[in-house]
Amino acid sequence: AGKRLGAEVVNVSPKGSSMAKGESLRDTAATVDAMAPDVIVVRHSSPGAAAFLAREVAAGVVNAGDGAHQHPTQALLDALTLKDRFGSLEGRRIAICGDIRHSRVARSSAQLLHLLGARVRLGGPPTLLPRDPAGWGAETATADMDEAIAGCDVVMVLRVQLERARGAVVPPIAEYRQRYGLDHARLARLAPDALVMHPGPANRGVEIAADLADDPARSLIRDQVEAGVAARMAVLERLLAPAEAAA
Amino acid sequence: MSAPALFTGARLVDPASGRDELGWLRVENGVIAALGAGAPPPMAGVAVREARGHALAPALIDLSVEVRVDPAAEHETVETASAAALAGGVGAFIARPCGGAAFDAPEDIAAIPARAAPVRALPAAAATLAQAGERLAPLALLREAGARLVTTGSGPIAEARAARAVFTAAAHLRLPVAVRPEEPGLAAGGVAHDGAFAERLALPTVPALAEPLQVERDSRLAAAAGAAILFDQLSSAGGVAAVRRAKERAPHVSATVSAAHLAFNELDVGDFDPRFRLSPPVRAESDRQALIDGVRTGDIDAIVSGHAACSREDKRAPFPDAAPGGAGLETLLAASLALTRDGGLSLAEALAPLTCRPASLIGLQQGRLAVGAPADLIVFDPEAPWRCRAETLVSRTKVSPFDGRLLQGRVRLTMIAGVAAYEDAGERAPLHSRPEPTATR
Repeated sequence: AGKRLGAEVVNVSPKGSSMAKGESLRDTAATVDAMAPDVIVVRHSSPGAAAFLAREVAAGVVNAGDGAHQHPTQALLDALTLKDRFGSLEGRRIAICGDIRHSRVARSSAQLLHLLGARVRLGGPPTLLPRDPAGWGAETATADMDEAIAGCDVVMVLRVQLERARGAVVPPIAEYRQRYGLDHARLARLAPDALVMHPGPANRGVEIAADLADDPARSLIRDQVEAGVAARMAVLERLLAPAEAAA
Repeated sequence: MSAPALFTGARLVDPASGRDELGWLRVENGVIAALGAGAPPPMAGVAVREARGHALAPALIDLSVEVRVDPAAEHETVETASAAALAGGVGAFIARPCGGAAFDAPEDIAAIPARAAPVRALPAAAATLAQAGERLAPLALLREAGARLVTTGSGPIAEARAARAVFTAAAHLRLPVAVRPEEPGLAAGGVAHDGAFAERLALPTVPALAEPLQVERDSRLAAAAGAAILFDQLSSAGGVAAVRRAKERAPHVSATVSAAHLAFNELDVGDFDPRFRLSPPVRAESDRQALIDGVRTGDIDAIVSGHAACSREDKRAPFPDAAPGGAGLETLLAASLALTRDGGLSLAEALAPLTCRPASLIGLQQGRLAVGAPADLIVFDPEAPWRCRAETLVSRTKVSPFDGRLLQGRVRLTMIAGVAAYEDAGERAPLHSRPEPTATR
């Protein structure tokens, strides 16, 4: 997105940098900030990393994902995709399904879609549901996948994190696929007109059937990717020239 | 030793006896020589100190202060903690090592009391070598070197058989064992209370249940061994209830709470504010109210500062990665006095968990206004307002959850063994600038 806007972009990744050797985020931040960037885009495994960075540096900070907390640009691109398709989101029934508890996409998207007037439902294995769906902007949280998606306009499927599936928290893959996996048959039965989204990357054949993910009549995944670049360009532009953009 | 001192016009507050009245108090040879209500009888050869209605109480006793033993660091040392203690009206504290260190050898702790003087710093002995929870530390030697209680470190001893051995050894030496009650498996990696708020922030959590579970196990093990057990810094309603049940079952069970946990709850974490990265975490408002009730009923015996030896750098990280804790010595009194306003306690009731009750838990003569007791005293103004500014604290730890807060309650004098060790005239506007304390020895 930065390059499309004509920006100079510098990537700093943990591999092969001093971060891999244990340099702390605040030291990396100081080093990067010393290059006097206009914007720092940060993706980090700790919730609150972006808030922390924003207190530390002079540059503008974009949160590209802080642990399981938030992924605001994903929520924006999801909302943009749906606005392009539906016009208004008011009253649209949207199910977000999967490992809700550990998902920054679920937190950000539920919140934003709710703000835009959609009716959000959360679905997933009982160990992975939030205890307070209203605080997330959702009407309900249910462990019954059929109940979650019945009559929905959109089903947003989340990636099941296979590494967690080996722990005690997520059901084994075979059970997950059978109880929570989304395919044409399930959709036809419960939400025949629904469109399907996925933030990617998808575990094809687990949370979403491969042919459903690829079905141009049903799947918005390609649109999401396109919208992603546009949404991020907009965020950068807004951060770089807030007064002008607001006018 | 200085000349005998006579305090006049003081509001004598002695939680041990329930005394709360205007009167006088005479100090001689480092102990309280006499005291009484109203005007003092005529006396010659005394240095008179007019308290002008300020409260005169025993100096505070703080059962949890972290220090770094090596003096080089930018972290709180024994000496700097002692200075902060004087400013906070604390005359005696239990010194615990910071972070991964353990006081498991007599040479670690032998110098601590001298380095802290005149404040009485009493080391907490490690229960096991390196606090690894496996092999017993030399508790008898540590007691000889000055240890007043045993601590199991930042968590309990996971393995029950080892825990029982520690309780047995400590019971034999008549040393109480302080345990931070958190079931280790449930607590591992957690940095926040497991409520809806932390769930939205996606912070790893310490379930509240981890506390009563551990209180149950360790209180039973301690009782079977005949040991005195001190549950260190409760954070939950369930923890208070479990301590109450443990006290009904067996003697020598006690518990503390930190001043911060009486003042703050999970919502204060706000936008990942690292000043509220605390261990144990601050929990729901209902837990906070249960902790205040616990102090009122006596289920909780003592309020501690939980003073941590962390630096500003240690806090400069995303919330889960920031070091837990903050300064507490200088806010301990004011934070506890808030209980007289919001918690419905009298001044004597609010001071009991800071004076006579902690004194009795570790066998100190201090903590009371009684003839013959050591003259470890504070004069303070319970109403004086001031704003806590972390960067101007006396302590080397310059982060505090009370940073920026308006507090009431200011120490004007701290006296140890009859010698004035800290004085603060405090005439200037307290809200906008912190008066410079003038320390005297």
